[in-house]
Parts: sequence; C-alpha cells; structure tokens
Amino acid sequence: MSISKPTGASGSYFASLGVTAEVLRSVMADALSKGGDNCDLYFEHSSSTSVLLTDGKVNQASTHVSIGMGVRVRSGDQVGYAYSEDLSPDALRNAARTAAGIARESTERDIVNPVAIELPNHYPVAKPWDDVDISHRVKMVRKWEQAAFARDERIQRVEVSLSDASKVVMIVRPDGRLIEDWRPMTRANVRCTAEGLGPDGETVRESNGYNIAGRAGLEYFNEHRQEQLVSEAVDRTLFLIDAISPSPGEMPVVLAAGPSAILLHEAIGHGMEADFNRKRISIYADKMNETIANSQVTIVDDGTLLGARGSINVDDEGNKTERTVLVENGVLRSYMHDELSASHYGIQPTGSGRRQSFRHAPMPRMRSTLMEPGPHDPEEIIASVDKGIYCVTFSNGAVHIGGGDFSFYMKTGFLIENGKLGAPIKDVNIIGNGPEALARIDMVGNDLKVDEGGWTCGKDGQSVPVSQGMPTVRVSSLVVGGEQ
Amino acid sequence: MSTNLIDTAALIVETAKSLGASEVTAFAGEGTYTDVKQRDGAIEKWQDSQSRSASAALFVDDRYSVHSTNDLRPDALKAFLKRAIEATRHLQPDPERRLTDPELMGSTDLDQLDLVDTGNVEIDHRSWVDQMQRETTAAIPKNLRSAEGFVWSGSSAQAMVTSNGFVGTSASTEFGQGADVSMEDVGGKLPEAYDYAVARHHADLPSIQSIAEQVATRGARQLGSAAVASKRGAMLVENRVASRIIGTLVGPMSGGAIYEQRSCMADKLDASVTSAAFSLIDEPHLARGMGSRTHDGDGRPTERRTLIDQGRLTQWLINVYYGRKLGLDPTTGGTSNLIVPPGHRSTQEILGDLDWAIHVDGFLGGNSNPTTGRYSFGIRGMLYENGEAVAPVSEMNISGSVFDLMGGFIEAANDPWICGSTRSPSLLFDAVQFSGQ
Repeated sequence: MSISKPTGASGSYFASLGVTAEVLRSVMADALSKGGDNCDLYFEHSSSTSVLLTDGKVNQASTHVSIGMGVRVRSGDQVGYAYSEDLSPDALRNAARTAAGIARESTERDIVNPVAIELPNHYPVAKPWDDVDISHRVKMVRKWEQAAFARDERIQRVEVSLSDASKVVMIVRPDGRLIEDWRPMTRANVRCTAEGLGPDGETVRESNGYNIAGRAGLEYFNEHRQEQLVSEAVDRTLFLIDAISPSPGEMPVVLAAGPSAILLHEAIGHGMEADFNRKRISIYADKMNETIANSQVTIVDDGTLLGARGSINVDDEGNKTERTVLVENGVLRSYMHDELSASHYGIQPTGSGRRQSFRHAPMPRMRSTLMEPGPHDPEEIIASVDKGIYCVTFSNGAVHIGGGDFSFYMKTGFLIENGKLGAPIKDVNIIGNGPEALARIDMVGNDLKVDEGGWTCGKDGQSVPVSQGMPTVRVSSLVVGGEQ
Repeated sequence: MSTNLIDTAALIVETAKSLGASEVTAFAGEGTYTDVKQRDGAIEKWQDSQSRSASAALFVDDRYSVHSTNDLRPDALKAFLKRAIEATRHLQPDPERRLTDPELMGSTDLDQLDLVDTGNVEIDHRSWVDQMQRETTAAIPKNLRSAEGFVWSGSSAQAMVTSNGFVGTSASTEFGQGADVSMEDVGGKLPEAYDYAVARHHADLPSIQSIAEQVATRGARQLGSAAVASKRGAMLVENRVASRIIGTLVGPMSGGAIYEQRSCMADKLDASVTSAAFSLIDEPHLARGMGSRTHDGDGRPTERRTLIDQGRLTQWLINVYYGRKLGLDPTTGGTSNLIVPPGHRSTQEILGDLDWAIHVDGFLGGNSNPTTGRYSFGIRGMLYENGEAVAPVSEMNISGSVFDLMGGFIEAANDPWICGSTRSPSLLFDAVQFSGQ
C-alpha cells in the first residue's frame, strides 16, 4: 500500500481532496486573524507497508495510513500549533483559529494566492513500490533469510523485515508559496541469532543484525546491496561470539569510517541546532566564528545527497534545503536554522526545519551530517595508538545539549595494542563531552564513508530519518565502559 | 465518547468480515491534549491536539496482518481494508495466529481503576504554566541561565472489539507539570536539570513549589561535575530513573524474545535472577495508576502478577500467540504498573552507612544486550563518602551483566516514585563497575 508520486501539477493532489486555493486562503486568513506574524500549513498523506519474516515464515504484514494538516502560527518567538485529521474546510479553519490564539491582536493580513514552486529532485525513483506486490516482497525476504543461513552453520535464527513508505506533503504560506513534495523511503533489516564457542571455549549465544535505508524504490536493492545486507548481518552476529569486554577507563579511541558519525550527530550536531542556541542553552551558544576543533575538521549537514535517508527536496516549512557548512577547518561557521531561529539571528534559514508529521511543529533538525575527509591514511591512524580501542559499529547515542555530555554505544570493535588491532570487543558505552571531544579529534582520515544504516533521530518527542558519514578519526581521549 | 468508538471498531470488524477476513480484532481511539511551554517569562509553544485512530488485526485463511489508519471516511476505510485483506493472502500461513478463545476473554471493572478525573476542573493553562516557570526561576537565586515551565492536560479513550464477541473499553485523563533549567557552570558548560509530575487526577499533582524546589536542588547538583577514577563500588539509583534498570530486566522476559532465543532469561524460569532482597510485581489494578488497565491486548482480563519473587523469576510475559508457539499457558503480553516494594530506610540513611557510593540521578545513552544480559550505560550523579556528598559526577559509564548487577542488589529505599508506570523506590547495588578517569 504505497502512495504513488503525484503526476498532476503541484497542489493538485490535495486539491483533489477538496483543499482548493480558496480553502487554503481562508484557512490562512483564520490562522492570522489574531495578529500572528506568519503561519504555515503542512498537509501530509503518508502510507507504509512492511513484511516480516520470523521463525522461517513470512507470516506478518502491516500497513499504515495517515492523513492530516498541521497549522503553525508565529508571533515573535512564540508558536501556536494545532492540527486536524479531517481535511474538510470547516475542520481546517477550526484548527487554524485554535493555533491563532497564540497572538493577541486583531489585524487584517494580506494572503497572497498560492502559486506552486518547482523543486529539485534529490530522490529519483526508478521502480516505485506501488508497482511491487506483496508476493514479490515475500520472495525478497525469503531469499535473504536463506542466504543468511547458508553463510554460516552457527546461525540459528533469522528475522527479516522489509518496509517501504511514501508520503505527499504540501506546504502553503501566506506569501503565496505552495510547495508539494513526494518522499519515498525504504528500509530492510536482517537480524540473526548464532551459537558458537566463545574465547574461553564456552558456548555463547548472540544476536545482532544490520539494516540499510534510503529514499528509493525497488531499484535500491541491487545485487551488491542485497549481498551486503545479509553478509553484514551474519558477520556482525558471529563477531560477538568471539568478542570480549574491554577494560574500563579513559583512553584514545579510533572511530572507523562510516557509522562512527554517530559521534558527530550526538557530540556536535545537536548542539548546533539553532533553537538551542537561540534559547542560549546550547554549549555552542556564543561560539560563532571561534575555533572549536582541529583545522583538519570540517563538518557539513547536507540535505541534498542523492537518495540518502536524510535528504529532503524542501524542508517542512517550505524552505530550500542545502549543504550547510557547520565547521570549516575547525572554525564554527553556521548553526542549522529553521525560520524561527533564522529570523531571531536575522539571517536566511538553512532549510533545516523538519517535523515528524503533521501532528508536530517543525524545529531545526539534522539531515545528513558528514565530516569531510582529512589528510591521514586509516592505517596510519590505528598505528599511532599504543593502547586504546577501534570502534567499528554502533547502535545508539544520546546527548545533554547544555552540559555537552554525550554518549554512544559501541556494538563491535577491537582493542588497539602497540599500533595494531587486537582482540575483538563488544557492547560498551563510550561517554565524553562534545566540545572537548571535538577539540580532541587530532587525526582525520582520507576515507569518508556515508553510512547506509536506517538511523532515526529523536528530539523533543519527534523522530525524523537522518543519515551520517565520517572518515576514520582519532579522538585522543574518551571514557570507555567495560569490566575489569 | 466510548459508544462512538465501539461503533467505529465494530464497523471495522463487520466490514473486514464482509470483505473476506475470517477473524478480526479492531481498535478505535481518540485523544485530546493541550501542551504549553513557557521560557523565561514568555509562552514558547502552545499546542492543541485532537487525534483519532483505528487499527485492525486481520486473520485471513490462517494468515495474519496488522493495519492502522486515521482516514475514517467510510469509502476510504473500506478501500483500505480491502487492500489489507488482499495483501494478507500473499503471506505464509501461521496457524497459531487466532483470536483468543472466548471463554478466556474478559475485562475487570474499569470504574474501579478511577482513571478519569470527572471533577470538571477548569484549567487555565496560561496562568498554570506561568506559575510553574516563575516559581522555578525564583527558586534558583544564582547560576541560572534559563528556565522553562511546561504543563499539559488531556484525555483519551479506546475501544477494542473482536469478531468473536469481545468488547473492551478504556478511558483516562492525564495532567502533568514540570520545569527544566539550564545552569551556568565553569568552562561555558550549561548543564540541564528537570523535574515533573504526572497524575490521572488533577488534585493528585504535587505542589508547583515542591517541583520548583526539586529542580533547583537538581540544578545545583550538576555544577562542577566531572568523572572520578574507575572503581568497583556501591551504586544507589534514584527512584525516578530506576526504570532504566527495571526495563533491562523485563525486556528479555517477553515471549517474543524467549521464542526467538534472543533472551538471557530463556533458561531462567524458576531460577534466581536477582538477590533475594528484590521482588517485582505487575499490578494492573492500581487506582489512578498510569499503567492501569482492565484487559490486555489479547482481550484477557488483567491480574496482579509477581514476576520476580524474592529473587526467583516466576513467569515470563507470554501473550496468547507465543503461549501457543511455546506450548505454555499465556500470562500477559506486556506489563502495566511495575512495582518494586519499598524498603524502610531513606536514601540519606542508606548513604550514611557506605564509605563510598555513587548516587546515580540520571542515565545518558547506553544500551543492553537482551540475549546475553550485558549492559553499559552512561551515568551522572553524586559521589558520597561516609554519607557526605563529595563531588558531582558525570561522563562515567557503568557496565556488566544484569545478573551480576541484580545479584548485588542490597536494599530498596522508602521513597517509591509514583509518576509513571514503573513505581520503584531508589535501589542500592553493590560492587558495580564504574568507568571514569
């Protein structure tokens, strides 16, 4: 059950559901009827389908459909928000009048007749999911299951899920902008349980998995990706059987290229979302144009990567997305802005206003957060560490924005001893302070890799899809969990 | 309210049956919330939400699928169910997926749970949030960067209808208030602290002043924090964050994890999984409880269950489906209010007896491995020596096996936290591995 890419003119999708230009103007007039400075209407129709294989059978499917409109009214830095799940003109106007209550005057506002704006396309789709029937999905999932079992006899259980989602969004503004975007997404997840002999000859049972995601159709699952999905899931599970816990303490940490970018996301990214800085509660508030990292460090947040999970053709306030340079050769150059923070700072938004759905107001969010490559070979970076750890994969992270403390959970990695990779290690949390960790990145590799994992970022109760990427880096010191 | 919802759920059952489903469970729900935040004297965000939802579990010729939509226009709903049933036919059969036997279904008395505040309290969110924020600001005479007050109120209702005759309803109200602050610390750090309370009945909320004072205390405690040296030692986990530990213990008890062999509890039924000082109870019938309920997702009446009895794991959380797969009698698929019985001493009395302990008042990230029981969490809190607060602590981890952690459980304090569906007092553990400098 997938929503096809609309073929009509921008705006015609919701017009066919009764949301005409005249309705849009009347809803915006109600939204601004109490003197709000600005407003936005965000219409969304989304659907998703997934199939799940457990216990040797593709025996569960699920579909979800959601439709509605959210209206935000701004009065200075204040926001009124309401939404309606009913697109009838009366229901829309009722929501608009509720959101209008944030403002307290009564003035006449000009509402310009909406005119559609054309968008770039950062996620072209060759084989849309609405052309793919359930039985084809069932075949794909079975094939991955069989390939996982065939890869190693220690694999005992395999679970597989394949999901696709699509949504049509329409953003309408009183200045006359009408923007419609169609957003596809697909995600596949393979989980394995294996049993084998551990490092001390004891029987060890372990589970792990791998998932990949992007804004794409069926063509996403080319032969290479399918093979990698299965082999990574199996290999990452078997890895744990042999792995040990490192000794706890503070030590140098080398982060492998790719998924390690969770460090960027937690330690640096969130603190550079401008709402926290506008409120002066981020540890990066008041640091603009200051040197905050080694000159090898350049960090960008990019909404335009082709087919990336974190890409958007337009942000959820209707503003152009872009590649935003946050840190350039160690110097803080920009926060990520939505309209609210941009107008507070008197600059243009960076197209970072995002939301989970029409039920939520937008706020500054990351898209694809990347560190640009530096001068070092990855081998050189590992060789530079006498005693430390090399982190390869991660499961999750978290941050305190103001204090700057952040943590990320390493699922797999290796000890480093005398410049060489040693015993495999697993399941430890790593903790540090964002600005301090950023300042302690003292070697950046030349091997930038964008991770294809299906990362989801949570903030203030809202989840949005994101991507991240990083070259190999060395952090001179972080606190690593583990047991003596 | 719920009559409409029962009608909606019944319509889904009837429509799905007429389109070819052999059995159906349908849910219909609705909710209304108002959510207001005020920072440093000005309203920041005011959100009014009215939501509705419908979902269905479809059983079609021994095949199973689940679906949800908020598009309840009759034609859209019919088309949705038709596609859903068609999709289900392409799956592989799963004969254990059937409705619960009617004789096992039922509900306990909803009214006794007292989950709805019928007091018709006229709530002025504007003055409520203003007082919440201003009292917090006033409680913090120095080092305050910014204070935010937040309040919310709402109500929700749900109906569950099955094609074999079960009808269950639930309804509840909710009122919450709290504040968070950013403190000015050395080195440009702006550590945060917060506190909040939530209750089913407005009159049960603690005073705004008590929350403001709690936030002030917690804010002051953050200042100057740093890691101390790695050490194995005692840990007292504050009541309001103990759910992190309880969750690590309960997650692997689910029927799905047991069946899929992804559980460290799989070979532990009737075995000792914690020290004898620890018990854990699931109590669905707590009056005004945040997790209270009359029936579970299978339409079976809820009952009080002792999950861990003085250290012994007495049961897993097995729903009807996994009960059939595992050949076991079902218990229930999920927990309601989890209760750790409180002890007799205050946290200060407990800390006074220890020469070294870290009082953990917050977790930061981390994870646990349900298959092996290994965990590793970031923590913050206060180092105590001989009952005296010595140094605020942050940027440290705790790591180990959940069985070692729980085996080292010594004592529960007398301070159960009642805001939430995990009601735990502060918990004392021995010989926990801390990693720091």
